[in-house]
Amino acid sequence: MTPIIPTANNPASATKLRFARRFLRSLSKMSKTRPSCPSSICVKKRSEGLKMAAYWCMARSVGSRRAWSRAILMKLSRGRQQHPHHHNFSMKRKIRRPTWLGKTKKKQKKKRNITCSSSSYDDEDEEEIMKRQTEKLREVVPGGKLMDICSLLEETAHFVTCLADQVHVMQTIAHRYS
Amino acid sequence: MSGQKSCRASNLNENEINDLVWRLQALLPRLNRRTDSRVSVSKILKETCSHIKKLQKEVEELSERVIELMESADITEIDEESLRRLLLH
Repeated sequence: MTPIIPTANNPASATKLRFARRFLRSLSKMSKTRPSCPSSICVKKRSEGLKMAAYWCMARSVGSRRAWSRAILMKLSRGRQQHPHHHNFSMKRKIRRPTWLGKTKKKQKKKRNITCSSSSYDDEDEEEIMKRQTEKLREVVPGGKLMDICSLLEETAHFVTCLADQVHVMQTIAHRYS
Repeated sequence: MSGQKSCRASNLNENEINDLVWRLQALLPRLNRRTDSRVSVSKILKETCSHIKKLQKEVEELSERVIELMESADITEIDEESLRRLLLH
């Protein structure tokens, strides 16, 4: 089998290919353990496990050179330690999942209708808005709460790129199967 | 003058931050087309958050789809070589 040689002028694709290889391995492990008569609950649990496996594979592919990937690896390896007999992340016990691993589909709470009147925004400082947006960003980026603003912005850029790569690989695989 | 020094340091920081924020804008599909008009920093941050959430939702939906497909198809059909070709082109 020809080795996957990353192109020198496009280092991003090297991570993408590493992720693809790891993710395929996770998929094949999961397919070997699939139940004979899957219930809808079982399918739901397995897709949760696959989602976690995808984040794990991406974080492994980036390695420890990024704060966001280190945060994911630390968080998910704690989950694995609690359930060492699970090869995949089947999350039987309810562990409080951080927002950056994506929320599970729950019944959506009815959102309050906040009418954005122009007067309320005039009163609010641009700095206040910036602060608020930065806090929201810290919640969605792994490890974001511990970073200074410059690191947060740098890590966010890299995280967004890798997340987009992850989605592209998963789309390609899904398209290939169907 | 420590006051002046801190003022200079904060100015440098602001330039650095602005630079990083414009780089973020380049990654956002909804904002990077409008390179001529100035987009506010807070708008870029807001759009980044919603873009990340959108990608996370896609990961979730794709995981469900792949699991459903896994029930019917045989995974070993996809080999790394063909996936590599699909991804690089």
